[in-house]
Amino acid sequence: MKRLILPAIAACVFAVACADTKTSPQEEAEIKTMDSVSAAVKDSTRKLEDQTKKVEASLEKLDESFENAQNK
Amino acid sequence: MKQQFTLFSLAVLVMIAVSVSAFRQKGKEAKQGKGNQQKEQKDHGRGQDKQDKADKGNGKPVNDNGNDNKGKGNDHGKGNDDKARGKDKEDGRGNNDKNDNGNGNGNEDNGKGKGHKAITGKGYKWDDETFKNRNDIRKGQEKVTICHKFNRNDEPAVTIRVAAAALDAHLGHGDVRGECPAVTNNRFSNGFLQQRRDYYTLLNDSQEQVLYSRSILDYAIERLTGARAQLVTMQNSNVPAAELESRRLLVVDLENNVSLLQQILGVTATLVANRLMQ
Repeated sequence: MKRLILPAIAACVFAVACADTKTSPQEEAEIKTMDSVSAAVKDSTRKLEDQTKKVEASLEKLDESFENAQNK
Repeated sequence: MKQQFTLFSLAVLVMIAVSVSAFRQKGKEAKQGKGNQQKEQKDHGRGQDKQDKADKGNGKPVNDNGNDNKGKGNDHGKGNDDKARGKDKEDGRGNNDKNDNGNGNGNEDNGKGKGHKAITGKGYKWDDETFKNRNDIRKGQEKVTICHKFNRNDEPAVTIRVAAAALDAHLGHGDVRGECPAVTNNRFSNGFLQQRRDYYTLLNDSQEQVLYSRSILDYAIERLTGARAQLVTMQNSNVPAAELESRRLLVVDLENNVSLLQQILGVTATLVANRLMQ
């Protein structure tokens, strides 16, 4: 009977592992693709955000300068 | 003998308890998805129900924009599809956008009312007044829960929250408001589904940035036209040369930045749009 304890625990661990569906190879391939695309999108979006801020800063300086001219 | 029997029984009981708790966890996750959907329905279903009734009366399909919803999304069996459709019809899909008036426009006036004319559902539109408050307007806009669907029958739909400014773009390519029906089968792993959610959330955040940058570009081009005209007027008005030159340099600086923004915007917009449509 004592010999049955270890297999029982092993079966228990096996059941837990089976309870969560593992990632299939197809899913893993898709996850890799998503990761690489995400990196490219993040990089591109960051550049876009930075350049947008530069345009906004230029606009604000322009508005300030032309408003001052109008007020004079 | 008795002792051995007791130990064996204990081991079996432990095995059963752990297995049951593991399977319950999966059930909870599925129920949570349903629970969230029901919560959405309680809070915000009324307006949507009215709209759905009107749509039913008109013979329109209720839960999408005319696209065939059979077999799409994350239900893979007939029974599940029927359930999902039934739920959508009954419950109005739990529109999470409290103040959405169907045009993708933002909130009722809450002190930021002046800014909301800047959000059109197709993006942003700035004028001299709203441009000054653009950060508040952008941060203060409502986020709408939508079910992002795909054209392939075996692809699970994904629930994401998008800015009101980006809503029309999503509804235009077949997405619907409200959360997606909970996944009832075990075909996809939880890790994969979570990755997909994160991925499409990132794409949508990037799309919102694209819309925002485009609106800033449009405003900047409009402003440039005005500034050039003003420079000409100043030249004719005998404004001191130094002052004129400093303003001219500001215009040139803006032109250069606008040109660069156009290039980067083109690249990012294409990248994001292609991925969102896949």
